[in-house]
Amino acid sequence: MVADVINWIQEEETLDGRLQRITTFLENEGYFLPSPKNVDRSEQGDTHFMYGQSLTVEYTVVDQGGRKVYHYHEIGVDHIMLRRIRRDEEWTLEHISSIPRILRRGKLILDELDKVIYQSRRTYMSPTGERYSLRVIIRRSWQGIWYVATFHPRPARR
Amino acid sequence: MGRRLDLWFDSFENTFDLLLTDRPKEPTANDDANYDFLLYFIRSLKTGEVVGFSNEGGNLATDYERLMGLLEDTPIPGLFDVPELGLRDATLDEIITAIYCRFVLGESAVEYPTAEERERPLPTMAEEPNNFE
Repeated sequence: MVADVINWIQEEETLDGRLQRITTFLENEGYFLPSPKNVDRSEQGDTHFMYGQSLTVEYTVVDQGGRKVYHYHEIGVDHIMLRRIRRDEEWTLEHISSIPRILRRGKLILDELDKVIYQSRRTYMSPTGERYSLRVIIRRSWQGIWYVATFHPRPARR
Repeated sequence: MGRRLDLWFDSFENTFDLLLTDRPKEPTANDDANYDFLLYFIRSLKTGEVVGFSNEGGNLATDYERLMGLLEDTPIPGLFDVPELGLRDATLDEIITAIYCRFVLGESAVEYPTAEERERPLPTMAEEPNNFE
């Protein structure tokens, strides 16, 4: 079932086509994909080359550590959204617009030279009623650019 | 025979997900373990049962040696089959090593020894605890 959905999404050759199919899938499941607010889109559309791939800037956020963090369109769609769907965690994607807020006001969990982990201060409810928080992991590329690497749920401590 | 894990590898940042194929369809999430945020247990939110493993947010190319050291200090019990890697009855560190060799080092022609031939680097517990913490 999940494999069928993933295959259907990946049949689309363009990134925007895949995003459209993800949006359709989420809407059919009863979820929506809101856009983040209060972000800097002045560099939107610029491209950076990283890990052998051209990445398109969607927005930037200055995190609580003063780092300028890039959110790339390709990572958001092909690596974060598809991973969540592949793991039956599509219910978290409705909160993907919370990434900037978590970067600015979340709890600092790990602060390493090239990796920082933030966690949402609020908790959310899963479709079956369990509470979870959200984590955002940012990484620094070898070029020195900080970017959103992933966004995932974590069980809330009872 | 070990429990079967499905492997998904993301070559963009060298990350993997290993998910039990017989897991129930329930919401899951990454839970911290004692592995310095280099390895997560994927837990069912409903039952707390571990249904997989992931190094999401990491990079196996740079984290491999540190992760192996952590797994040596705190082994994860259990034997697993990973058909994509041709592994049967493998410990998690063996599986991660196979992923590293195959996908990071690109040693596609590596032949893994059969379970009988392999010398197990880690002892496995007679009974697997339900709670990995």
